[in-house]
Amino acid sequence: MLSIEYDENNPKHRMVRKAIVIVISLVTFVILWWVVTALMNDRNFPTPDKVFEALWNLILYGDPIGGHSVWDYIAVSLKTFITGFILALVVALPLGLLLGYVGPLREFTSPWIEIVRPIAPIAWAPIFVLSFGSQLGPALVVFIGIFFPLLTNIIFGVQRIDQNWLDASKTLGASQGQLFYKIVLPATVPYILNGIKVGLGVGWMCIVAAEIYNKFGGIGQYLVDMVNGGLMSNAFAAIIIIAVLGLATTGVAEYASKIVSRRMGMDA
Amino acid sequence: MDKKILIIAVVAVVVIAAIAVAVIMMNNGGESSDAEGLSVVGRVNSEGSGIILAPGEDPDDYITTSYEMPGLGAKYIYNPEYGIYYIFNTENWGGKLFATPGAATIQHVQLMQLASLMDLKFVSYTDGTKMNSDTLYYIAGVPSFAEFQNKLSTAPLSGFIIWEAQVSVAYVSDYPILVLTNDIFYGHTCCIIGASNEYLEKEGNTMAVFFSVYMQAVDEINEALENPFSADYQELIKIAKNRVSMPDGLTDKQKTDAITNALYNVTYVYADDKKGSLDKLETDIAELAESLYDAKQIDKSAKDLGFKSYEELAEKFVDDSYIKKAVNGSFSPLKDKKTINVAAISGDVHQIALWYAIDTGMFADANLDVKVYPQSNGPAVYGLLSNGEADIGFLGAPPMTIRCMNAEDIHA
Amino acid sequence: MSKGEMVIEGEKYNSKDRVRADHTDKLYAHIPEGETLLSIRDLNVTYRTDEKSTVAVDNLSFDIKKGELVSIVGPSGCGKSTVLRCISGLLQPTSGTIMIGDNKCTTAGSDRGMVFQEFALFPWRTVRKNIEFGLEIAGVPKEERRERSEKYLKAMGLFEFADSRIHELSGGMKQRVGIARAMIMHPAVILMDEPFGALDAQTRNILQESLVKVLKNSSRTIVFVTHSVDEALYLSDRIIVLSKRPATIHKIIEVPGDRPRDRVAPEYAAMRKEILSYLQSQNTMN
Repeated sequence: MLSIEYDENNPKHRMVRKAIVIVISLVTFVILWWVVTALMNDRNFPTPDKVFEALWNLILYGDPIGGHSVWDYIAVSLKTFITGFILALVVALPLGLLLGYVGPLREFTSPWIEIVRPIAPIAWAPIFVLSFGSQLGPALVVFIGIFFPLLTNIIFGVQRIDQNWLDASKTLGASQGQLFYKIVLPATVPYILNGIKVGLGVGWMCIVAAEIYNKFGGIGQYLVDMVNGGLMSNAFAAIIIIAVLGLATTGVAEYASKIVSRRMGMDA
Repeated sequence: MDKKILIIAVVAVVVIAAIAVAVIMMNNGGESSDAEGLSVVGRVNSEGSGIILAPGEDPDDYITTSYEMPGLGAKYIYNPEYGIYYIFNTENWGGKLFATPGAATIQHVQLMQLASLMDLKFVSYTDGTKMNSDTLYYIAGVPSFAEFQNKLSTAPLSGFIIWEAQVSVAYVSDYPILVLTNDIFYGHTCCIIGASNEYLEKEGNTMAVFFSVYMQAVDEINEALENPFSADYQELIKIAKNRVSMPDGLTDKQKTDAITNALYNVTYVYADDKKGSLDKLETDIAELAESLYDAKQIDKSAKDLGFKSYEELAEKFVDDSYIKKAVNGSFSPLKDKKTINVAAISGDVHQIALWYAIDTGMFADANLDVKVYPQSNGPAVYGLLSNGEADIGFLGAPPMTIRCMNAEDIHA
Repeated sequence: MSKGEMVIEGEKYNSKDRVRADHTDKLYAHIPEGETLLSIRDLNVTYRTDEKSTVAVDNLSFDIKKGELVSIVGPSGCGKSTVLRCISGLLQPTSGTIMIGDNKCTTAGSDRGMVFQEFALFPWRTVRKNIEFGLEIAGVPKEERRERSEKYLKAMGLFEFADSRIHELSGGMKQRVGIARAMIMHPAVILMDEPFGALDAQTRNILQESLVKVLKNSSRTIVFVTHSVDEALYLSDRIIVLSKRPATIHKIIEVPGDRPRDRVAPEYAAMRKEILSYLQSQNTMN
């Protein structure tokens, strides 16, 4: 064992310790997975070695049945996801700010939101793909998933703005418009970021649902096709890819959120 | 490392291991008998599919016919029954997009065979794919004519290979029909009956009784189709219109026309011949298994499963004893009512014999209570066979073969 | 104000009329020092609670002269902050008139700047940008903004923290920013609502001294609400003592002596005793 004393205050030590913990944790996870699947002996739950072999082959050689590389599938899924995300942002941002600001409007639209929000995005998938076609349909499923958490966070954020800030601005002469741009907008930013973080997670969960009905490629469709064909190792490889992509998108969101928070000084 | 952390880690691992053991105990409770796995025990139909073209397409661009053998280098398929050569204009197929009902279906496999015939690559269409003229592209998982129409507006589809009655529905909707699989794949195997070996061991007699009724239904249907003025024919049309899914928006006359056309295009059978032999089915399945292994849809070869050859695998896989028992009458009629759980594809005209027998009371007369679990496609039917919820299943030969080999439901 | 109480508002004003310019004190340059600048007449704030109405501020009238610092003290909950908020325009009174010079005060605006007890600084802006906020609103060009904020940063001892975030500052420093932000606008009147109430005693004293220093260099008209009689005596030219609710003016006291004053001087002790015993009596009377 290393004979180095662990120093809490040394950032290098902290990083190394974190890395070691993560590695040991993951290795233990794989060992457990191996033990469980080996004992289960259920052909629907392949052991890690088979899954990693399938993943490796998928990355190196692509999908021989569909004739595409794994990057093609990832690209289709990401494109769908980003389209849905941008749509949600573009609609939820102004709408959330408006509803947060204008009380009577919020009251009026509140029943609509409460009724539609609990409907799981997956339920909309077949309808959206049917009505809006194969490019827009799946993106709309992702849209629904991201839209509602984002909207509610923004509305909440606007309502929680410190009244003192608004008062102070008025005594400095701010007009209604200036109040909006200089106070309401920046003050809501942390809530927007939080809404995006939550929404991204939900949105990524919708990808598989959206692609089941779409049939135009994507990693979610590959997953379903592999299950239908009984090639379970490939299916689990797809699941790993979906998990990694989900981690990546939320990771990017976390990072962006941290940067913006720091820049805006709201991270105290 | 901290002692505390170590203790927590060990406790966590022990807890997880205990849960794992519990799960395994519960799971292993299900598997008991020696008779594991699945077998193919009979046929359902042959032929009965076709290729529809998108509106505005001209069939002659794709396939031309001739009584004379085409020149060197031409890609063609010969139909021995009509003596016709079907010639494929490869340049017009390259870079085109066709829809299929699913990657594991016979229709998909046939389209793949056509691509192979024309030396075209066979690649799935993803959003934004550039279409190369050395490739035939597909969208899999389009299960109906209505779905095809929907997809026409969002993808550059040229055609659709699909089973009856969808081909006839397209026909009465004035879509161009390119060719029937009866023409280019004369006598090809389509749907078969799969059964769980455990069920066969326990209820072999019941299986034979089922076949005796089923055979009768198939014979009656074929007779009715030859006598369109008979009462049985009227009965058949009525049952088919009820049981086969067709889209809204068709007039009643269109529906009747479509159903009638479809019934004539499908060849209803229960075995290779009236003697109950399944030898040809065996050969078909052996060929299918090998080609699907080469196409990477099956990831275990016959050798991986412990067989010397695909023929040996097919021999084990296909079991004609029950249908032969039915043909020879070597079974005992049921004294008490018995239930048999059947998974079938919903709304499928290929499998109409099953419904005919049910709706005309033929099964009931033999004391057989047939419970049908309709599924949306072949793999779903296999799923019910696999987990034991269905005793027998009506599904295509390809999904049965693919799933059984991948899941090792056939072993030496 | 307890729950369920609503002010019965008099005329409502359009925020479109909000005064936005900086140096609004120039608007009243024609009024000499010592003459009345801000006049409050018959200020009444009545709340409606369920069926009955309660009067919080009972027809107050007083004048604030240009260049003077007037404190308003009174028993807890008497409505001193309410009066200040009415003057600022953040609260519309039930009736009464508030005039600066010949102009009637309507909504809040930059002619009446305010310093808040809770600082009310903008956390997403740096110290410098907080101070420059009002100038931005008024449309002052960038270079001029920079120049003027530099002056105030230096004057308030904030120069090293010019580009720091608000959360990095102590309470005392935050209020310096608050004061700078209000003063840089040169409003006609500055209103301070218990500005040092959230600070500890030492910081409080230090900031009082800073304020006095600032006043030495530029003449300002300030209305100052405070709980602390000592503070009022240290800073004010006059003290308005309010009664308990419904608030009326009990007494207006002239405070002699130039600033900076000796906190422990005997003349202040007597005044202190008088005001404190009055407040005591108001607080115990129920």
